[in-house]
Amino acid sequence: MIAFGIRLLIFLCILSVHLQAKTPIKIGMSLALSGPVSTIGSDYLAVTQAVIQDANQNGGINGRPLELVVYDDAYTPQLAVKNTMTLIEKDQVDLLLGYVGTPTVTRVLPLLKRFEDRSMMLYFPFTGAEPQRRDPYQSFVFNLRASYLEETKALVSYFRSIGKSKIAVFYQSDAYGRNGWDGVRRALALYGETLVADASYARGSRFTDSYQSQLSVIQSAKPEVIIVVGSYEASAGFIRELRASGDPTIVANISFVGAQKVISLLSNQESLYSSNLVFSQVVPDYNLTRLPAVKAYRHLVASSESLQSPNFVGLEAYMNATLLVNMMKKVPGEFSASKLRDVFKRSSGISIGLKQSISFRESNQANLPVYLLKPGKNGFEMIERASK
Amino acid sequence: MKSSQSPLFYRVIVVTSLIFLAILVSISLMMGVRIQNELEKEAKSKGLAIAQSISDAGVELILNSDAATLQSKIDEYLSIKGVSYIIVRDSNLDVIAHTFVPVIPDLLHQKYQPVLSKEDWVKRPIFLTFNEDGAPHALDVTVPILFGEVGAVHVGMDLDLILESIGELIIYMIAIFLVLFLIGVLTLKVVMGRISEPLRKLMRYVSALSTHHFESQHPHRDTILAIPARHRDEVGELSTTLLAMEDHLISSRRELETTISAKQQIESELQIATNIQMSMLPKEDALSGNDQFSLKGFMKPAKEVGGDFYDMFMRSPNELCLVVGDVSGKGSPAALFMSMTLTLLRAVTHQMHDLSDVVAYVNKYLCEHNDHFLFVTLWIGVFNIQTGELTYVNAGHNSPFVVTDNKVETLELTDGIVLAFDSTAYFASQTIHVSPESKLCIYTDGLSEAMSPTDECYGEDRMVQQLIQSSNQDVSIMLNSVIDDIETFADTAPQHDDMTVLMMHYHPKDMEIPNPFKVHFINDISEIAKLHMVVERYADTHQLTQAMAMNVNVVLEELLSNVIFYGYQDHDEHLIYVTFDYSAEELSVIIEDDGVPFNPLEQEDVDMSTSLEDTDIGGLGIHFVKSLTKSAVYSREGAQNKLVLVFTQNKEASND
Repeated sequence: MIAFGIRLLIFLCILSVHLQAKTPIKIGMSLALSGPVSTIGSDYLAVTQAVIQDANQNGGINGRPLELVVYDDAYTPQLAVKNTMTLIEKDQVDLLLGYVGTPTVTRVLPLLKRFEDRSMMLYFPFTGAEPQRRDPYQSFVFNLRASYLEETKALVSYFRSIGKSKIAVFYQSDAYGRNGWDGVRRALALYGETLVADASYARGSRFTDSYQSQLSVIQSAKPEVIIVVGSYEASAGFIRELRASGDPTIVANISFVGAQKVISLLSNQESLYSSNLVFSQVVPDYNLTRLPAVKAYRHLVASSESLQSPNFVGLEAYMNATLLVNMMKKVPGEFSASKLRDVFKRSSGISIGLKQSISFRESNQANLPVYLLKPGKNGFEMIERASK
Repeated sequence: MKSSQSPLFYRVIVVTSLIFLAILVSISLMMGVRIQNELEKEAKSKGLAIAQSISDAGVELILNSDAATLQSKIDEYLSIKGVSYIIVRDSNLDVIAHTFVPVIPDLLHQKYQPVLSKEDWVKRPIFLTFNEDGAPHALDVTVPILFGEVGAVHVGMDLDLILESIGELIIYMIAIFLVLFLIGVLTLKVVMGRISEPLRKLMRYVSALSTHHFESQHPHRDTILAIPARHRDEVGELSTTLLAMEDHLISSRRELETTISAKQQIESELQIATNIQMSMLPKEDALSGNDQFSLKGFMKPAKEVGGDFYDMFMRSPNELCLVVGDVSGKGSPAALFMSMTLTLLRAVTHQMHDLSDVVAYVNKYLCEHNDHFLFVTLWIGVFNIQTGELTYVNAGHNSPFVVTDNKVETLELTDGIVLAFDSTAYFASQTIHVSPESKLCIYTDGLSEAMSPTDECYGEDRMVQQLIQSSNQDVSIMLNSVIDDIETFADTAPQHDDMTVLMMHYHPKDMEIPNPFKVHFINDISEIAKLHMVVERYADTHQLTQAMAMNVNVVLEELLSNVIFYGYQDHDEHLIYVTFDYSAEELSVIIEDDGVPFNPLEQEDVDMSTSLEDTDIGGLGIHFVKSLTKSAVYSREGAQNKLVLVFTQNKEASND
């Protein structure tokens, strides 16, 4: 992980040779480049690097280059905390960007409070968890994506609308899973319903692991829908075993799962396995090229050899990094972390290439919708919802 | 040290192992129980502290409905060692966060149900212990959040961990014990090696000593020489003792060799002494060739030299002296005393005529030279081979046997005590007549008291029996048969006393006494006995009357004793001739001597009315001569006195 960081540093140093020898603006990242969600982390990083590289090639921020300082936390809270401390204290980064995962971000939050005097902000973490959207930490994080609560609420609402209210949850035994679990539970409570069953799995579980114990708990309650709050490996593994038992029950995943990853793992199995799946997303379908953000993202992917084919994670990473760079450009005079925060807080009607514009004046949470999709013939298809 | 350890070592190892095992088991049990109690106590307080902490931190999180942070919080606590699970409930006591995968076991719900249904569960922490299957083996702590208003926290402390800890501890302890044990065994091996190595050396040394002859120090000695200095313990002492023993045995052997060589020297001296003693005894053939008697002597000392002795010699031409004696004790002292006695007897017997005197003299002498309080039993006899008279003295000795015609008689005792005991003792003598062809057997108690291997005494009866059986044999054969019989009887029993026997066979030749018959006597008074015998034989041969023989005896004894006592002025031996001639009822006797001229017939006749005391020498004799002879004529022819006497048959002395 450190080796990777150093390699990256050298790369970026070479990169910045074109730029005037001005002090770079340092952007710190700690994300899973190994472990059960490493694909998400890698994709996210690759797109972010591409955006930053592009920004630097276009003159940086007020002449100053952007420098990414990246560490791998393997989706473990302790490493995330350790990496963050290194980034803030040793690397003296100006801001933090794009952390991946609830358990990691949840544990990093107190550090933001600790370095409040340096206006240390976390921009657009790849998680819909509640802690960074609530006191005491909501003022240290800007959230672009909708929360898990919103996602689960949207899912429950949708399923009720199609007459399915017997809902079970398969969740990761940690803050992320608990967050999703809590979201489903609360959404049901709005209708006076409760979960028919829940079963957790240990974080880090793999596609090939057995999920029979969870399956038997959930199946015994005969749910109509199973909402998965987990990683793509565990989710795909669970779906595999569920389908293998001949159970066609609808399985819904929330955004963190990485929809393509689940589909790609299941694609090696029988085609039946990918039917009856619903994915909630916080970004639109990456095939909707009529949206400027999607178009620009796909252009970036097409122009870069190092990037994966278009996907939800990449699109979100692109939107996050692009928003950050654009806002940084608006910082008047000499760049500072506090100035950037102020720019975010004061701006309104910020366009991010979607139908709607956003604002952080009211809160640090952008007000973006939740998209529900299902696997289709060519990628994913939007599910039309009565309520929206 | 060899790879094979001594059995001693293995025995010690086994015992030590058992002790170690016992200690290990007891300590493990004690510590296990103790530590389990302690750890459970600690788990309880730790669980309570964690539950309290979550309870405190959870208030706001629950109120803010921040499930993610709550989960994050309890996940953090879960990383504390020993925490098995955490469950958080909200104000409705619904579970809002837990750490179980996939679900909270039903059993736990069942356990919590009765606890939480009670009103007072909020007042104090509640401890439960789960041991059943279907739930974690845990100590459960339940605490209320804000007195139950906000919710509750269950914290499960892992009891398996405690058992694992104890297991680990015990394994650790066993490991330490094993290391200590190994060190102990190795130390023991070295120590035992140090102990058993010298013991082995000692064993080899001792077994080598068992076949050692102790002429010099055994070569193995070098292997244990260093042991006493290196081992100042029992082993060292044992080595010292063994070394000393060998030294002692070597010096003992040398002493023994010296002693043996000294003994051999003594034995060779004793052999000489034996030879000397044997040479003191009469030679086998000393008196052989005599036609009147046969003799056989035998002496076998119990040791090299003995205290028994016998002697036989002619005191005069007709007197055979026989001696058998036994000095008390055996060996050298007895032998020396025996030689003194024997020598003394031989000397004194020649000088004194009377046996009583001889024995008394010898006794007195021995008494004076007897510092060691020895004593001697003695039988001495003088046997007249012409007359068959035996005069003897028995000084405390066994009575000899007389064998006559298959009969055995015992010679009477003479009431004499042993010699060298009382210097004033008197030894009476006894005279008997021994008939021709009789055999005399004089012996010491070494014969009669010979012992058999079963401690049976040979006894005089057996001896008598043996004598009778061989009574018609020669004395040599008789003697040998007795000795053979005794030796057969004694068999393997050692000879405990000297054995001496002397046998005499009296076989007088019938003398052809011619007529006339001339016989000579010497000027010795003992010749009177010979005279009587000659007269008796002559009378027998020529059938003289009893009275006439008596007269001849009386007259010749008177006249011959006169010549012997008074006829010679020197001390030389002189011959006196007597010639008998019997014809026509008359006997003429001529006495011729070369003594001083003396005519007995010229002596005054004795006055028979006067007392005998007043009578002159020869006076009474002349009376007999004149009255008992028919005629008596004296003549001096040259240097010879010649007296011619004539006796008649009817002239009887008794008439006077």
